[in-house]
Amino acid sequence: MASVSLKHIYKIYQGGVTAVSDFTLDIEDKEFVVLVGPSGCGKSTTLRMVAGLEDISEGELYIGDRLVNDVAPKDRDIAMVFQNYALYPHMTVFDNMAFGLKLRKTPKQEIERRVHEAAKVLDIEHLLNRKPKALSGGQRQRVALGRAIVREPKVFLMDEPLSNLDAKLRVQMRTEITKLHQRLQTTFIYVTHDQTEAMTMGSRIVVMKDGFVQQVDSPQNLYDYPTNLFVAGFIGTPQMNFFKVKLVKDSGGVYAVFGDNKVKVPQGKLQKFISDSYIGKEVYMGIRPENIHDEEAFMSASPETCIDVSVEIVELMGSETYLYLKTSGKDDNIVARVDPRSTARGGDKIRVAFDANRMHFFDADTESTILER
Amino acid sequence: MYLDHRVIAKIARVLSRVKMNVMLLDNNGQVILPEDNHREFTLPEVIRQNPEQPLVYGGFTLIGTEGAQPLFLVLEGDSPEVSNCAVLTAELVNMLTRVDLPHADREQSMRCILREEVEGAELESLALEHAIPLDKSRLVLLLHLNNVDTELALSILSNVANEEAGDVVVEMDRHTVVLVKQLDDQGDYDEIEQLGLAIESTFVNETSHPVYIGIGEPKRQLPQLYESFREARRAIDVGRVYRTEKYVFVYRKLLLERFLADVPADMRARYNQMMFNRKTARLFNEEMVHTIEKFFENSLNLSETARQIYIHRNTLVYRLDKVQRMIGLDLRDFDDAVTFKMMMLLGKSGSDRPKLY
Repeated sequence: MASVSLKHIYKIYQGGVTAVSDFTLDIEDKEFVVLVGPSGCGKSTTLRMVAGLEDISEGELYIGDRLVNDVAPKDRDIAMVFQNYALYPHMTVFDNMAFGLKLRKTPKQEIERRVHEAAKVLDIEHLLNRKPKALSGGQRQRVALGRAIVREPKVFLMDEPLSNLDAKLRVQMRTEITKLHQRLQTTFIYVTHDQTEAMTMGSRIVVMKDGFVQQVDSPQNLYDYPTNLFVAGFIGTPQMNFFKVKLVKDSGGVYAVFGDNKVKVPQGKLQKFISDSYIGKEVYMGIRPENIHDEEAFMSASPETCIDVSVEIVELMGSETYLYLKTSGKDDNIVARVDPRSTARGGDKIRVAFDANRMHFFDADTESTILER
Repeated sequence: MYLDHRVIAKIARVLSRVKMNVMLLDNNGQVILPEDNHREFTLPEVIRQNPEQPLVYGGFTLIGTEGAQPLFLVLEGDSPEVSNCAVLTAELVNMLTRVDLPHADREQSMRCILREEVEGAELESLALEHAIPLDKSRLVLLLHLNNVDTELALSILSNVANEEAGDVVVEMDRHTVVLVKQLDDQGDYDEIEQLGLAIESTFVNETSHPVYIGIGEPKRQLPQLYESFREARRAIDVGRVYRTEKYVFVYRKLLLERFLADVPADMRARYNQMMFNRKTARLFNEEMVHTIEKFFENSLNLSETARQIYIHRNTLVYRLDKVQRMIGLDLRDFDDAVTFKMMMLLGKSGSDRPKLY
């Protein structure tokens, strides 16, 4: 078990392409940290630098108290699990799990002990004599995890380990890995491009884009207090709706104006603005789909946050309904997640209300939030 | 010429006794000794044509060893003494590298078979002596090593190989190690790529360096096994160009790529430019190419592709519509997708990745 510290880490490839810039993060012992971001954001490169599979161009990497920049991967006391969980087809599950230890000339009794212990944790003891072709996808993935566990590493590194599995199995394995972390009480660093995976598994999440860390926070804080437009759009499904609005002040208060629409910004929200200078200027306003309501009760309670929309498509999801709406001042659709009992139908002209206390505001130039927590 | 690490160590000892600066190069001009020198030289055509005759060239004396694929010694100096020393050193290297067939062990015998150095009665006698069945289905799984210690590679492969089932591990040269895999039934062949992937993953875990793995076709007769070795090498050379994100290449699965590699370079360029030219350069930016490659990888499945590259399905549809408007090919249509894929692959043939074999 160990902490991991990345201090001002850079990865610059020959030719000057910078894949990771100034990555600084302290990961505590036993923490489950998830690196998330779109393809090419540098998350896998960061993980590979921790693993020693990529050289660190600049900065310092510590595992525990030990500087490991120049330490060979096999001596870093880490274990990796990749999306390609290739198992030796001619070996049994036991032999597959024991293979790395055998190469390291670990005594036979020790191999037996470690493999059986890992198999017990993963609940695959009954599979130890089977060959990989007799296993399901999920069982194979567990064997791959077992292969990493038997090494008894200080840190587990996982690079999109679930992306080869089908959707149902992915959800199941997600829970399994979280449970595994609780049982092993070891530091986990997990890379994924899937924000749902990140939100459900990590105790802390690092959102990355174009090689830069955008925000490091707990899942709930990322959702409630995104630090910029990218994080706000990346976290949450369906994603947050964005509007380019002008903040206009009149006798009634401050309004976010776009197209023919006016939405009142509540006083409580205005008090959180980092500067009054945004009043009178254009900013981005964001609102999550679940904070747009079509219930009459909500609209009558906050008439100043209502806008007129036309319903383009209604998607019935069972437990909820997605409305794809059109309004003036916004080219693309607004998505609202409403109660499944909603009576809205395609082609209807309706009014919806924004939960103004849940609105987000971002600087139009820097795209950073202009709200304090 | 075959050189395993034990022979290289012996030659290094001989060269250390020669009191002048000397290098040993392989047939391609790449430095073998000193081991910390990774340069590659272009050898003069004269010495290639007549390797065993010393050649004075730019203040150095060059000489080759015997055989179809000679090694070359480069000694600093151009005096007659240096020339004499070159001849003697070359002869010593010849003695160290000569295969003593009557005393060859199982691994050496298999190496000679793979390199087509024995045939007919000689091959049969070697097979008999080392209990290598003549008519068993086998294939070659070839590992190209880069920055990986050969002994470690041999140790990993020995743990993978099942010698009782007829598998043989052979060191071919300092970059190439081979696993000759005996196949007892069709199921073994179906799993061979999985075996390659598992080996590759072991190398990444144990050495932090990936290895390229080529897998040849199964051969029923021992005298034909060299063809599987050639195919494995060809698979690596073609695979590295066309499937840049992969490390394990199965010869049988590279039929299209092998065909395209055989198309003359000027014709490849001509057809590729019909689609990828100045007019379409903005359309086919890095993001668009990545999108299309992922779309093909997912067998034209819109939802799965959108999920994997984290874009909305409609964004993907919009991108594909844009391609259709610009070049007239609807990539959601199988025939159009095939046409586009081939044109795209033709462009990859011009890749500057050097051949390894």
